[in-house]
Amino acid sequence: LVFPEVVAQRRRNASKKEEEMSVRLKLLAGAALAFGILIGVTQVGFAEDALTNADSNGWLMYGRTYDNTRFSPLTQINTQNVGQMKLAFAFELGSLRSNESTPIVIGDAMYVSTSWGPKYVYALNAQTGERKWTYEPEIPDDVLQYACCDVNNRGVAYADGKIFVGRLDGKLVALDAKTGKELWTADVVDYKQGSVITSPPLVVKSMVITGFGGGEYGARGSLQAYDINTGKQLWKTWTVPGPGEPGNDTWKGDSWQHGGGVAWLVGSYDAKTNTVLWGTSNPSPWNAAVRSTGTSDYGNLRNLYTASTLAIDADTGKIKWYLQTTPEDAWDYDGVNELVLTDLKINGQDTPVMLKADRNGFFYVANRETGKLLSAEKFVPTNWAEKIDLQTAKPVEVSDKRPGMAHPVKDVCPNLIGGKNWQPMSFSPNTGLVYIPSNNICMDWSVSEVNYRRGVFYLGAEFPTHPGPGGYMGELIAWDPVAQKKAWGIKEDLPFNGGTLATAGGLVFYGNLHGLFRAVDAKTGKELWKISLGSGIGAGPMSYAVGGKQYVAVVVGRTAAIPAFLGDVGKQMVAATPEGGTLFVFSQ
Amino acid sequence: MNKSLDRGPGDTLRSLRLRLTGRRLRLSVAVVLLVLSGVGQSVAEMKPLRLCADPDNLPFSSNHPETPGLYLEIGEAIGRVMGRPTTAVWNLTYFGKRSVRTTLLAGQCDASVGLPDDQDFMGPRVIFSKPLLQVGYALVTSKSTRVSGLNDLRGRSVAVQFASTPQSMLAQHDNIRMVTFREPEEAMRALAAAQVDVAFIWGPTAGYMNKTVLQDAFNIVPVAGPGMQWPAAVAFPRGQALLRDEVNRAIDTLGTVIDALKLKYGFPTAEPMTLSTKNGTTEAPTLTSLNARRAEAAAPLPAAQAGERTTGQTTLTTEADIAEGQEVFNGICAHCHGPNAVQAERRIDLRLLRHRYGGKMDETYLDTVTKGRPAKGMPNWSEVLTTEQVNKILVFLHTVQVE
Repeated sequence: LVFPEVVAQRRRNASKKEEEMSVRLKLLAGAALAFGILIGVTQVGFAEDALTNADSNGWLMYGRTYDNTRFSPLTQINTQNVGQMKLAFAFELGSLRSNESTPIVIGDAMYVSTSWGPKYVYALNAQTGERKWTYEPEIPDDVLQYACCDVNNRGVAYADGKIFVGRLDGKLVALDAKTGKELWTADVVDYKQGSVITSPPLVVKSMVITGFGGGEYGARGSLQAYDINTGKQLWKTWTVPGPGEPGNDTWKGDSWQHGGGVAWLVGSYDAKTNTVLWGTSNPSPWNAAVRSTGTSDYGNLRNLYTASTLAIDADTGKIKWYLQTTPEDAWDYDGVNELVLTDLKINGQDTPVMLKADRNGFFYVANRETGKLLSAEKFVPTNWAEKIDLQTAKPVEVSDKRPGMAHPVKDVCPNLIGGKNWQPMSFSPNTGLVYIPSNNICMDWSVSEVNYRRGVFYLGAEFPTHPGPGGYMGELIAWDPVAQKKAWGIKEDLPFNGGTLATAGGLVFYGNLHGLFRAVDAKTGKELWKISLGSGIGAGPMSYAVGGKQYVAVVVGRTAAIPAFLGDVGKQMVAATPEGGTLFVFSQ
Repeated sequence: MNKSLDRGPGDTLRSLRLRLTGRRLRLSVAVVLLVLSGVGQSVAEMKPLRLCADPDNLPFSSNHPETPGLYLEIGEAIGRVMGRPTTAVWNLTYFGKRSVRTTLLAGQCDASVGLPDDQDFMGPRVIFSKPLLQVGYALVTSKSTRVSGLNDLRGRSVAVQFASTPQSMLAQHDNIRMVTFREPEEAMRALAAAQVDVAFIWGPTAGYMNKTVLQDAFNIVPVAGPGMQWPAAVAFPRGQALLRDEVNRAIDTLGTVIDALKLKYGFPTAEPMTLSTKNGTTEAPTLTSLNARRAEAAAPLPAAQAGERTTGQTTLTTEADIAEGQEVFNGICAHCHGPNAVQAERRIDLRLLRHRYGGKMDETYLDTVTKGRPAKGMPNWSEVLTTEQVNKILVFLHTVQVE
């Protein structure tokens, strides 16, 4: 507080403008240096202690920790006593439909966002549910027009006494965690291009990093890092390379300019190698012949770095390596799904890995320090590719399952919502299993439908949807990532069920589209507890402890826009429950 | 589509737009007066025909009274023949099908002019009148250029729209250099600046720009073929066949009116041509050289005058006016918006009008009050409040704005 006053005083005293400027600059530089050192120390300390070495009571970010395992080490609620779990409190979010938020808990404060922008962010007392403050941003009326896939928001991030919120209107804001007051606002992307922010950003050191959505509407993806204190942009990395950058020659003509590859879901961070890992969406436009050959014989025209995992140096934003899962995508198989980081014994070797249940139906295990693919197997019924070639990481495609202008295809699995969508999976180091909210839906794909956007008609893609083999449409799959096979599963009649939480109490929690919230034995899948919460559940549950007591929390509120893409299946999804928007918190 | 005019580098376009916006205030008041002054009392008892329309989508529709747009003016003409007043129900159409679902199919309006009469569009949920116009993609070239087949485009740079049929078509011809734009307006600007040789884009938009800002410098020829042309018609929800039949009878009488409107909005009227894809059957390329085109483009675009710009402030500013506005507000508007405009629900907190709309506060206010926002529960007050009252409420609201 002293420095600005000194600067102001000197400014008043300065007689010549040039002198004034020079004094100001020197003082500002001095001040910045002094601040920088202090802040730098605080930040490093903060990042190391608070976010990297998380205490077991809190839930510090979307996936609890940087590794996105959604594993709570708490054991108070366990397989023996989960049957006695009761409601601790409920909180109405004040916003209906598509509530996809995972609350975070820092100390005794919980921060939870709602759908529509978000319409609200609340700070609550995590023990009582008592509200501390409400943030209600000014979201433009017309934003629903530009949000391809509903007005969802998946949560907020925390660091250094600040809450960070990505918004549908393309802005990233920092709030004072104590008061909810806006500290700064950064313009990340123009929402009127169909680009919206729906997922929480990732805080690394003194940076807050975010992507955005809009792959279908001609956006060119990027990841952007901002200073947590000032909101100033520190780096911006295009996820589709421009001319002169490696990978630009994987695009035909000028198609890279509207190439998609947006990073609309959440990132992970490996502190050991200072690497940010983030998935990217499908390329655009949907007609692959515009950006490549339009056939399985795509050669070099793979459309990098779409439908990929990107490893990025956190300090510079430089791309270290990539792993593309669906080259020259033609099925809308986004590669955005979250990377779960852990160490596994692969062929007898302790290996640092990243796990991804891809939309394309394959479960990928890769070395997270090199990007080398270690294994990839089908975790849901999948017929667009026979297998993934482990040497090249390329799929061995079934060519009559690749849709194109001249060849509509029938019965491709998975359909465009993928073997797994945004709903987060979890990993328990105790069982060694990954708990995947999976979908079993197939589609036909043709390109004759007439579409319309702001005055212009064009040929659209149509994708009638039907249940996959077996007739069920969803399944909670407990997956062994070492053996690459299913340990057990619980089938669901509908797709698009809720994310999962694994705990050291030997439990897995998850909700479904009927609003049923369950606890099952993490080893066997045996149902131990359930409660009906009234509206469809998509969000991932979380767990925390305050005052020596463990709580389990979940946000409910059925999806609304995705069913519109799914015809009769969509009608069943909408009919399953009313819209909703409530936070439920349970304890013993 | 105007959004790209706003953003684009074309200062000419921007000042044109400002000019239109500037005139808007007085015109809306005039419209209100017209409605209130009993012109057409006979039709006042008729239920108005509610037309769904995008407020910002010229040449098709807009909320600028001076240029309501081709579709909206056709709708108004249909209303006149039927003896029914028309009102516009505004909704943005960035995602066309979604907006049809949430407006026309949700009962928010009775009809929507200018949807494609095609079973593939939304299936049997939507029914259509007779076709009004043939709309689709067109080749836009300089007057001295002739294109009769894809051969003529060889080695040329062609502006196309992202995710359009022409983009898909030309993607199969590696010897044609595509330059891709998100919006047809951007493509036209590139053509006007000689950054591309030809544009293969949405015809009505090209025609409108050609007429309004490009001094008719270009030839616009619609292109035939799959996914290129559609019959645009009036759409109704299934079950409104009687209304549809009535509209069809009105359309039968409107041939000359529609022709005049096409002219007003620069709508391409040439017969669609079939682009020959055969090799060697067309004449040698007749495109003028890019250099010559650049010289043409060096001539400045027609400069739009700065135009008079009203500030958006009304002239009624006395204490008595404020008090009167406040009284009317508290008697009528306060029911939803709170006494003295104090309302905790930000969505309907009118103290935030300036914060939210800035220089467009008055425009937005007048538009909302006189047209309503049915989808959000705001009625149309134009038949309840006098123009004077509407203006005085605005004067009052100016005194309570917060940042």
